[in-house]
Amino acid sequence: MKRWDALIIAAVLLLAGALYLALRPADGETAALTADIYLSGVLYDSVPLSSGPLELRVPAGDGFNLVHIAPEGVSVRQADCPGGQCVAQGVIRRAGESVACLPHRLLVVLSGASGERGEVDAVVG
Amino acid sequence: MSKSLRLRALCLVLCAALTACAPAGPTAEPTGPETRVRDNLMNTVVTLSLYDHASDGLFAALFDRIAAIEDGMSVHRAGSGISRLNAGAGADSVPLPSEVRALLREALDIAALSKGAFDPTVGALTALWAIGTPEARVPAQSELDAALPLVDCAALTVDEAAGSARLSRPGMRVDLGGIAKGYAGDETLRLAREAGVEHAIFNLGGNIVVMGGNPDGTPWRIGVRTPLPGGEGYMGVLELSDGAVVTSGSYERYLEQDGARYHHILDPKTGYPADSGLLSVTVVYGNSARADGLSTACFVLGLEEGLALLTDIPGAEGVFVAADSRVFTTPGLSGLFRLTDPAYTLVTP
Ligand SMILES: [Zn+2]
Repeated sequence: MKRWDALIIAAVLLLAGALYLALRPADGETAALTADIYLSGVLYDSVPLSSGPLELRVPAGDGFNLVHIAPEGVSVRQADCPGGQCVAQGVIRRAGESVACLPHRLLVVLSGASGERGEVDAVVG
Repeated sequence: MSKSLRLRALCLVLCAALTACAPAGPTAEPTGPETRVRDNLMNTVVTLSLYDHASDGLFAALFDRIAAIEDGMSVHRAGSGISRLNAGAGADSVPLPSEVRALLREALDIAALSKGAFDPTVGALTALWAIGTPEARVPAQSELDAALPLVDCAALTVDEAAGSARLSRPGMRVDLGGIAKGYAGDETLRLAREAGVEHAIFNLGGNIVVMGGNPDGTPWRIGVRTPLPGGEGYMGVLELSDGAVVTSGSYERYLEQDGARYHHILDPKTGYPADSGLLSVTVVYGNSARADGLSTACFVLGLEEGLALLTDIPGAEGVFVAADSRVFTTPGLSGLFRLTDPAYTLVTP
């Protein structure tokens, strides 16, 4: 009887361990994110971050923006807009974050399961 | 209870405990925000996140409100109240909607509080520099000398009884760029609250307004942007449940000419970009329009006078980042602001 009980305990522990692994969120918050690219407010393309790393040359305004999409985040790597503000904005990594090129009316927004709350909810400035 | 029954009960408890240890599935988590982003309002990016009561209709109403404020306050729109006021400078009083008059009076209040470090009549100077536009350039000293006498908030009068305002000298220009975004933040927050929203966080081109704290029961956590040109991310984190956070920084918009950098926050007294030894000032206050004006004023005033200004205003707090990477806060922020970037040094108040 005692051996039988030990077996049950072992089975339960094994099952619980398996469940934990199965239900655990995927590694890294960006795993389930999608980069939604808008031109003049209209959805132009939606690219899952998991399909990167890749580079998308978007014809925007009277020029282009080179959008870099990777599981680690999204950025505008290069653009021929005046000022180059979009390139200076750096990498976005969390759901709700965006990078914009106002002269070209290009907007990239990260959407999808945000998973756990990040270290900050927004950045001022 | 038999031994085996007890063991089976133990197994059940163990099983339940282990399940509880696993991260909760999506159903058990507090609902995440619904977020909408627009890039065609107030010449910036507006991000609205609602944690409850989100609907297409409410988002549309909030964005429409921001668009209406822009229509009334922008110096770049010919028909706006402010453009009409500027066009009538030196001539008659100009009839204006009550909302524009209210914001003009708010601007004059901040000008008085800051002894002119913030000045809504700085428009003659901002038009000369045009920083942030393709026409940006360094004006000649003669041009600045001609424009400086046109910066004078004593020559701006608001007549509530007549429903009008007046600029008394020709060539004067009001520019509410320093507080219009802040005001739009206050208005969207008010509308959302009226619609029943309890938890929300709005970002109007870097101006943050929040309500209700995060639904998980803790305050909102707001990163303060690294104030170096091209610097990525934030250098510290502020905690706040309700109110506004606004930063004025030299990194936001600037013009580079002949190897020198000219930022967009002009000192109304010199006509040049304010040179007060600060990289950025972040102001926390209950009202976003005033936080917006105060952050500009503090940036122009510099560390000591800026800290003194905020100390005199109940409920106003600030984070000052100096050019030597030292960071100063008002005493009210102790425990609510923490540095996250070791490149900076927090000087405890
Ligand atoms: Zn750009």
